[in-house]
Amino acid sequence: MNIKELLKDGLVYFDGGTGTILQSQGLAPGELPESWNIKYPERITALHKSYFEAGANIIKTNTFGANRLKFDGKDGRADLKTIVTAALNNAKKAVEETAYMNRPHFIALDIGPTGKLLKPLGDLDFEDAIDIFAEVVRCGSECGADLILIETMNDSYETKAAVLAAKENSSLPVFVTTVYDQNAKLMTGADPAAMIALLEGLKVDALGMNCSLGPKQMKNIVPLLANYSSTPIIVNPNAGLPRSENGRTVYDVTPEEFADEMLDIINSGACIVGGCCGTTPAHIRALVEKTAGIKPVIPDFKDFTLVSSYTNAVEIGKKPVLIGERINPTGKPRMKAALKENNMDYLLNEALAQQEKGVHILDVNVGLPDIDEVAMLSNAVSEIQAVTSLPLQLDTSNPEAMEKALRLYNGKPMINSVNGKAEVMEAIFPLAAKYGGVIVALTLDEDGIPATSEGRIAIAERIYRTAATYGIPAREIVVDPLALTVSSDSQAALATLEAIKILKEKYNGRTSLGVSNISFGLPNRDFVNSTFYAMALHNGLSAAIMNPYSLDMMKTYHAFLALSGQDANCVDYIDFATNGVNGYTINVPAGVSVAGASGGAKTSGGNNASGGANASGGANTSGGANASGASGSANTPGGAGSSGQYPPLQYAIIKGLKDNAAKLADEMLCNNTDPLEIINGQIIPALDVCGKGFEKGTIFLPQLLMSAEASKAAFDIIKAKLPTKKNDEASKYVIVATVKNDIHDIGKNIVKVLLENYGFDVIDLGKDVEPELIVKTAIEKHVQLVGLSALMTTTVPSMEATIKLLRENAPWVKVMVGGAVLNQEYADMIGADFYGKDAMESVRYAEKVFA
Amino acid sequence: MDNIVSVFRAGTDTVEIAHSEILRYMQYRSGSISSDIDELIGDCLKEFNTSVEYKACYSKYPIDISGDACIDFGFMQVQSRFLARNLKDCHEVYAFAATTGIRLERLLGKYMRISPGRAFIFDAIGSAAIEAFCDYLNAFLREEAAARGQFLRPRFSPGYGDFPLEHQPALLRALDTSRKINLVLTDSFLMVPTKSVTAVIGISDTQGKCSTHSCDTCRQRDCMYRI
Repeated sequence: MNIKELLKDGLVYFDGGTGTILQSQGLAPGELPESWNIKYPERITALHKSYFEAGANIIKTNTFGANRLKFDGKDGRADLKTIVTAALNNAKKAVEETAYMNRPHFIALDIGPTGKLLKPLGDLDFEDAIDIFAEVVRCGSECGADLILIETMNDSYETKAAVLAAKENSSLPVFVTTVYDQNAKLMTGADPAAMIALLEGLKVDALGMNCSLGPKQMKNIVPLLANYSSTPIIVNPNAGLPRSENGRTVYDVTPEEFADEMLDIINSGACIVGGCCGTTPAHIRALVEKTAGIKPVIPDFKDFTLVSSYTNAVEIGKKPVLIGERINPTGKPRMKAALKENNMDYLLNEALAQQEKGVHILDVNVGLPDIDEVAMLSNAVSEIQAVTSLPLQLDTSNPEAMEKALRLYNGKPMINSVNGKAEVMEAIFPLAAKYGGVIVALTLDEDGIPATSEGRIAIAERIYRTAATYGIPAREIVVDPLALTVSSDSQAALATLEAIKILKEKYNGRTSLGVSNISFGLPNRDFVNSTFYAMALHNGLSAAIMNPYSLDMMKTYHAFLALSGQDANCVDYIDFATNGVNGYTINVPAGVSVAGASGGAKTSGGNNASGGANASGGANTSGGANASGASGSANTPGGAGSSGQYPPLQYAIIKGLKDNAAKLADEMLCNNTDPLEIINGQIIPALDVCGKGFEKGTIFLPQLLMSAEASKAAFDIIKAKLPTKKNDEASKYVIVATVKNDIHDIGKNIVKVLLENYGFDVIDLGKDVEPELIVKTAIEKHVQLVGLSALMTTTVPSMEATIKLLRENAPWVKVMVGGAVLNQEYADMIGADFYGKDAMESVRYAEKVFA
Repeated sequence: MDNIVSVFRAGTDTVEIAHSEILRYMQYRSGSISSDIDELIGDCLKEFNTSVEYKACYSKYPIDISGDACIDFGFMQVQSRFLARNLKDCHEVYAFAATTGIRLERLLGKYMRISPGRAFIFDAIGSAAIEAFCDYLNAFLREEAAARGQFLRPRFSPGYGDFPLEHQPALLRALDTSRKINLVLTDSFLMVPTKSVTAVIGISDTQGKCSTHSCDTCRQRDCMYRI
């Protein structure tokens, strides 16, 4: 079946509701509708037939909830294959028996959601989700389905898993409809533009919406789809909103009203139409009668460059886009150290700090020679997507790392990068064609970077052409015409600027630039960067990979928008110039900012604000960049005023002032205080005050935790200056984990941060952790202490199983346990060495173990 | 048979979260709370309210209790002495599922990753909030019952006393929670979003004399949250 061919002959009609009709035929509450494929095959065939006879072209098989989670072949339940085969046989029979009608009749293999939430929200692994869908797809396509309909999806991530499963396991056309609420959002947040970006990236054949709303409510959403979609649009509404009447669910919209409303929907751009819950053959008949003669609107190609996350899309090519460059170890010793230690907190704080500065997309580069980049990039992508809904730009030269990250990214990312080298395009374009993604294309090739704009344009042209052979349109390419340093070639900036202009004017091309390379080797690089940036913007630059902590760059960005008529009434500029700009001054006396301010996201980033010079040249290391900001207040530590009996850093920690603690630690370093002296003389005494206060009951747990965070922030600043440990010799490893089947990790996280504070090397294995992984890690690192957490009585048995496995395989390990349902008696019963009533008790026990 | 599942929503202006409840979930016992922490709780509460979406679904089911404390709900059979005692003299129940929504779950996940201190506070607010929402829903159901001249028993959840968590799949399926309010289970029967509650409420023609707080029916005597 080819939907675009079919649409040339007129609108294509889906059938209507299945589940609601089976209910009216006596399907009991809790009974699985798919089981009727076997129980009452004749009823299912009759239903399909009645839809064909009403004028539908496509019927949905009765397989909405058919997956192995529900049909496992156990305890009298049918297995998946039996159900899907029966469903297809019922559908095929209906097609045969309506052959006399001489109309195109097709069978859609119907696939609904799994009924589980994917990680990190739920416990279903992304690859497992693909596998669950794949089984249905294989079975359905073997049994003769004509197309695959993935429907009623309310999560973009699960939708992606289902589409990948369909694409990887069949060659059938794939249609996708998702559920929007009245605000035109999916349950997990995506808007129509974000879904279209994702689905067109995955190359589905038709897309749209179904269920939840009636045609009246859907009417407002159809134009949003039509605005962005280059793909035929499906609309399958319910027969209105359900309401209860005399103990029955009633859908109010009559067939005639349904047909009337659908006419408007068709006129707004839908070309494949039918119904969902509450609609009947009568609705479809009325719809067909009313609209049969209408020539469908097949969407034209939309020239939008869209990058998306699980909530929204960012368009490249209209308003200038800022791509934050800070998640990249090049020239950033702290980032390097964080990656080596697998310290995701640092990355996440960097992500959030850049978001706060207003970037639209985050570049993610975690490449270091001695780490497993494939695993690291995937993990970083998942973790960053757990804290921010900004779209990401995947930045790696390792194709394997790129593929894995592209696959599990929730949305349609940017791909950084390809260039004119044949080998690179051969490696990356197939990935982009399969998973979708906006590709950054560098204008260099086997012969290096051409000196002239003409040379760079020629490469760009070659990249466009090659991409097209993979089915990748030009809109998915963002050309980076490359900036070379102006200090070694005075014409360097001009070549780049001219290339931007030509790409914009002649090719309507989107462009991106790593701005800061231009100033390499010059003093006060931001002066040059920001002016160059202004010139590039004026020439039509679409996006910049840049340092959002640079005040000069942000000034240029906001001023340019105001001056180029892209900031009505200068609203954004005024906000930036009066409020936003404050985030860049770090000359604030200690003690002024409060703990509540901005979630502490600025700890890492904020310190570099006035330094700026460290953009990407790598000339500056951690401390140096901060010198200017620090000098002001460093000599007046007493200025904190309220610190009273404690020196400022101790005071900041005790009060839980994360930003201040980091800043003060940094100032002390800049004043050449010995790092060890800061730890022993300031941080540890402060921690002592808090720990003892908590034990005495004078300090309340959240206060203790805020102090712990503050001391961790200070410690992170100092860490880069400490001599590195020799091998594993001095490491005090402690594993913490929430046991298998339990998803509550708050208690575990509390213990973790306190243990870290007291100098233990904590290996956090997360929540819902397999006993085998705990044992394996304990053996590999020769860990002496394992802390296990469980919140539910139902998960304490997993705790017991984990302890047992540890005793058998790592008998030297001490095990401490904690959690709301545990007590000493319970802990003894399951064979733990120690029961920690609260987090401080765990710390004290750990101190004893390592004493 | 009456098996209509209704959806119930509430705004943050109607669900009142008692400060004392937040503190109880924060394991606060006595002594003064610093103004910093108080301010921090206020900040967190504000952010909490921008993310929380109170949604519930409920339905009414006839029940049949046999002599050996087996309660037949139609869609599930439960063996539980505690529940049988709670539902004494009832021939019907409301079953409901209530949640605070996916957006809040994301917010909790975010702070769990970047700030254990705030995560702890958000967690406490979440626990207090879902209970407050259940109270609000239950008050609504109580009125609905009162209009029919009926009375409600205190809500009773899987996991209380000897009412096993293993009944969660049947209960969530009957209430169609995945579609109606986007509430699902993990393999170990825990709910996602995590700040969610399912329960049954006995409906009776007579006013019962029953304990009002769920802690009284719980066997976990040394629980840190116990009132």
